[in-house]
Amino acid sequence: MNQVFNSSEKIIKIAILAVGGQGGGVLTNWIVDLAERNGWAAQSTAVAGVAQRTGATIYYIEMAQSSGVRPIFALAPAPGDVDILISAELMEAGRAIMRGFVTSDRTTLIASSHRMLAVSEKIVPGNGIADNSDVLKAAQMSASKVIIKDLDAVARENGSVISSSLFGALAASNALPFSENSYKNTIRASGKGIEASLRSFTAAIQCVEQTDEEHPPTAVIGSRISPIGKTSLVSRWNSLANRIDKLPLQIRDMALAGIKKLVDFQDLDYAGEYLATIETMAHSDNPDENYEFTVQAAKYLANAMAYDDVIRVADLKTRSGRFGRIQQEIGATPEQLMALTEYMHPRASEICATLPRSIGRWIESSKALSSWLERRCIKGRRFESHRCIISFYFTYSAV
Amino acid sequence: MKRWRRALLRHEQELKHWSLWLDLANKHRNENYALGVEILKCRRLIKGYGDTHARGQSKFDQVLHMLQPLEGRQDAANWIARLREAALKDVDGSKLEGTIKTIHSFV
Repeated sequence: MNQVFNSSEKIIKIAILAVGGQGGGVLTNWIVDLAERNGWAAQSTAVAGVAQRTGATIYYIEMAQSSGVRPIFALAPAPGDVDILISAELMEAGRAIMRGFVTSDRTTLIASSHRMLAVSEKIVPGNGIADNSDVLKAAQMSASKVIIKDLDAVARENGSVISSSLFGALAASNALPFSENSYKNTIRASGKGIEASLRSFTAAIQCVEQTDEEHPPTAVIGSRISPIGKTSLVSRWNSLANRIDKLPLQIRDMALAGIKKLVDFQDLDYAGEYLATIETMAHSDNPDENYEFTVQAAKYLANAMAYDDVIRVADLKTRSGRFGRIQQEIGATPEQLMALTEYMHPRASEICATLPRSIGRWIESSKALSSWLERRCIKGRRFESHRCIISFYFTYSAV
Repeated sequence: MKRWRRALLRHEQELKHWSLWLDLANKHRNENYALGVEILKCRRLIKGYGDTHARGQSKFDQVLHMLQPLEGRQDAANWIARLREAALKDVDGSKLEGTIKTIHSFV
């Protein structure tokens, strides 16, 4: 009985917050394995949470140096009593801070700075995305050590999942008394996607140690692109791009984004017309106002001209990238058959709008015809666009 | 069908819509630069297709309809911005209605 395990300071408590599919379970197993590999005793639990999204789970691990007697571990984290908090998403970290799991006297906070939008953020008609800076500020204030990097990007760049880069960040934090090698051995022993996991693990360590500044968001908009394709088309694109370079500096980025969008939506002629409107507007705009009017017009006119019609929706639905993305999301292998059902609910006015002007107007002006069409449309339709050539053709032909 | 798009009824409707909107913004820009900018930004209310598009368009119309009572006021741009934010924020339209009522109370 004199071998009582009583020093609670020797117990290291780790909480992991992850959303489904982020590999929270894998990360938990790795950490437990890591502890046991080094002769520690460890226990893990998982509490499936009902967050504002499809369920953020709290994994909880307690570990202690083995002293021969099996220590009794707690099942769930208590506020103010967590040494390491790992969050696989930024707002999840914010939620953990609110619940008191992060305290300035002891908690090392490791979080990925990327966002997965909550339902409450998506349903706002305008921009409902919550402000990141509040969480970042709160993190700096409430944790004893903060590591916030875009670990999701690190993992994806290395063909892995966020669990491996979080594991790397944990190693880099030195919050656990284990060597980098034993981390790697843990990954090797797990036996699945080892190479990619190790790559991502190492990259995460570099990312944390490298600099303290954030992964700068890569600017997609405004970067000049060099398109490939038919020479005549490329030279026409380049002449549009050259016209943009003659515009006042403030307008260029937005106008370039605009023509990219409109070439994608329709063609080079269409983008040219857009650019001509912007040029005229810039000409009469006031430089003292920083060309604000033309900048806003460049933004919203491009959006207005790339309206969502049946053609565009069908175009987006039949792009090969979409099939690949869905395949990846559901984790189907190339030899598995994938069934995809499209839910469509066009209004009668949309059907008319897809007809030539005169016919469309004729139907819309005829009460009998348009109410018949409305009745036909009210039910909604389902198409299987994955393999049936007829329905694929039906969707594709609308492009 | 992409190649015929510009001959379709929808294109004609959209073309008309954005031409009127640009003309309106241009017209106001000459007297009140900030107001012109705010009118342009109202386009943000319109997006999507089907019901979403119809709803957005109706909010857009309601906001721009208030240009007339606000005509000549120095704070017109400010009010249009407020109307647009109200329209963006509420799903059921009550905030927008409230702001419209407020404006009617003093003009």
